[in-house]
Amino acid sequence: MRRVAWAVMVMAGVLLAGGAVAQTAPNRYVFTTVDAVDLNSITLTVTGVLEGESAPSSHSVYFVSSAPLGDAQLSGCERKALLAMSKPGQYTFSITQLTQYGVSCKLARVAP
Amino acid sequence: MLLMRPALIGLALAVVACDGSRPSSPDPVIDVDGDGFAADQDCDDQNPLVWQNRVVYRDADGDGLGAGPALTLCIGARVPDGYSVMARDCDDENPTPTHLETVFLDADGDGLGAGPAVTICTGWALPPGYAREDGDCDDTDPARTRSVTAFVDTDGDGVGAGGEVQVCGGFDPGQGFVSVTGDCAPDDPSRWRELPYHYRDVDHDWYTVASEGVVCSGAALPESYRDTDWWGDDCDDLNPSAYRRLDGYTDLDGDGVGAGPPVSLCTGQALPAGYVASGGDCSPHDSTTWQLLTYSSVDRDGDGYTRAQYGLVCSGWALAPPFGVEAKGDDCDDWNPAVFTLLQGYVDADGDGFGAGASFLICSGFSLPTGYAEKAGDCAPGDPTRWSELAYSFRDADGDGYTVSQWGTVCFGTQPPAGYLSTAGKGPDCDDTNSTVFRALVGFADADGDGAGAGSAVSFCTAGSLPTGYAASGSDCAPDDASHWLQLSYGFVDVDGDGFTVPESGTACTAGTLPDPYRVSAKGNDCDDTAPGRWRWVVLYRDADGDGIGAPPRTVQCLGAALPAGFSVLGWDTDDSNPGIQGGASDEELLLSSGG
Repeated sequence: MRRVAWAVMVMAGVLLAGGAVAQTAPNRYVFTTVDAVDLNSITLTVTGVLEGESAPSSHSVYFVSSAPLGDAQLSGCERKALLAMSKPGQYTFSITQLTQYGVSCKLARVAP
Repeated sequence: MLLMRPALIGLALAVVACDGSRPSSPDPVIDVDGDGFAADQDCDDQNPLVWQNRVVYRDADGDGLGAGPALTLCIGARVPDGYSVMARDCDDENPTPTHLETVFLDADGDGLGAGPAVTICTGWALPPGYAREDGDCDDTDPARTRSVTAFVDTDGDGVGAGGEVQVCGGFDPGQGFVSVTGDCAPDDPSRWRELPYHYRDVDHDWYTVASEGVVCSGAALPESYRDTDWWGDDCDDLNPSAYRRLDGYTDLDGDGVGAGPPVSLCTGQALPAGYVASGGDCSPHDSTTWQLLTYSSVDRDGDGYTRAQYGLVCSGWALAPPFGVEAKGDDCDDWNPAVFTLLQGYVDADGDGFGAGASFLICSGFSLPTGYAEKAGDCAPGDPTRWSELAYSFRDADGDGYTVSQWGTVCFGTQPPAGYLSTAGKGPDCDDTNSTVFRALVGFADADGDGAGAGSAVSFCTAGSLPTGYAASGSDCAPDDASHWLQLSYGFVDVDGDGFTVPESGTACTAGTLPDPYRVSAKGNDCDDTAPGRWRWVVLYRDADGDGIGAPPRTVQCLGAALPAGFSVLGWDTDDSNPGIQGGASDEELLLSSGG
């Protein structure tokens, strides 16, 4: 049920993101707020406000679920996104497309 | 008388022995001298040596014959010396027994006398000049004693001829006569009788021909007649040097081996000249060759190297060159003594020691013949001064060390030609015909002299630098303004000068660096580039109870460094009306809950 809600929010995020410049690198996205996380079979889509931007947007990274540790990594990414989403402003959450189907997720506490 | 004495002695002994006592005769025998003769019969019974009376004659000469008056003497077994029982000695002084005998004069002493008979005192042997037989037809010649029937032997061969004649002769008829006749050659002393012959040997070579007949001969058959064939049939009895048949072959060349079919020849010990016993001369007109010998190698050119070839060749005692049985090498041209082995080489038309074209196996001597070379690769087969080929990738025709890229090969002789290189040398040459220029440069007209040109690019072949009035760069964005020349791109601007930019791209003609407000890179994302006091978007939550934790809904505000009062960047206060309640689970709880 929650995943369905995220999916709706992802779509909205993608639409809202438009052409805003929000990523610090072509394949790395740093969210100051996380509004939704959608995890399907090959895609992790995060919706939120990117650092330095004023409106939420959605960004996706791709993975291979059958790769070793692929599911475990995505599960960890999902927990980090949920943590950032639970305490808005406490953390920045970043996702990085490492390789074509590799994903890195990072959760960082914002300095007081 | 000598025989009677033993008889008497025997009788006396017989009388005694009959009864072992004295004889029983009533008349006893008186033998005073005990010589075995009774006294009445013994002429001297007093002398046991005599017992008989014999008539004897005086034999003075002791020859056994006495002479003179007869005398009676009492004697024993033998006549005493000087007496003889025979009285015919006509000369008792001659110890040789003599007697009177009628004989004939024998003047020639041949044992036959002639003329009237005469009586002479003689011994058993007549004295010389007498003979007991007469009838000597010629008492002057001891060899002719009687008339014999003879035949004239004109030739003296012992066999006469013609009719019988009576001649005075001896054991033989005498000179010129013989006792046998039938001389078949009266005038030839070497022949006198006919002998049968069975063979003829006219040529006296001891080889005969069968021929029956008789021939007037001597002791033996004449030379040309034989009774036996000692040596065999004579094939030519008119030629003493030809007597037997031999098969021969015509030997025209005198090499000892003939040719053609065998010919039966009448000859002697050896075949006649021009014929030999063995045939099969493979070369009848060449005295140096006569037999076929097998050869397995040929060296026709006499260079010592052979070709394997098998066959038969008419030869002498041994194979003569070019034929042999021992191979040496494999002569590739057995008609040329200068070449004998295959060497790999190439056609070298120009004689520079390097050939061209495909390789060949060339019939050679110890080295390749003229016109061929061991080494290939002559790049100029018609030029003796060039043979080596150099592959080059660059040319430096003007010798300035700079090259032009050019692939190819160049043919040379002992030294590679200058200007052909496999490396780029100092670099590319824009003009390889001029050693003073080599580097290609593109210049742009630089009218304002600021080092940057403009307009169309102009190519120059230079010695390393563009000519005056041209610049390597053609990007002078202000060709007539010496203070601006470089058109730079920008992607951001910081109009309010607060150090934070907003995306905006474009170009600007500069003096080398971008002037304000243009930036190449972003810094932040200025949320209001018209107000230097605000530069960032901040997500804020209303913090009504002032406990530092706000609550949704959030707002995003364009701010500077400070936050507005009553707002917080944290937004999870579950009861924003009570500063004592901030709510929210701890991080650990959140992690645990999300993991569950």
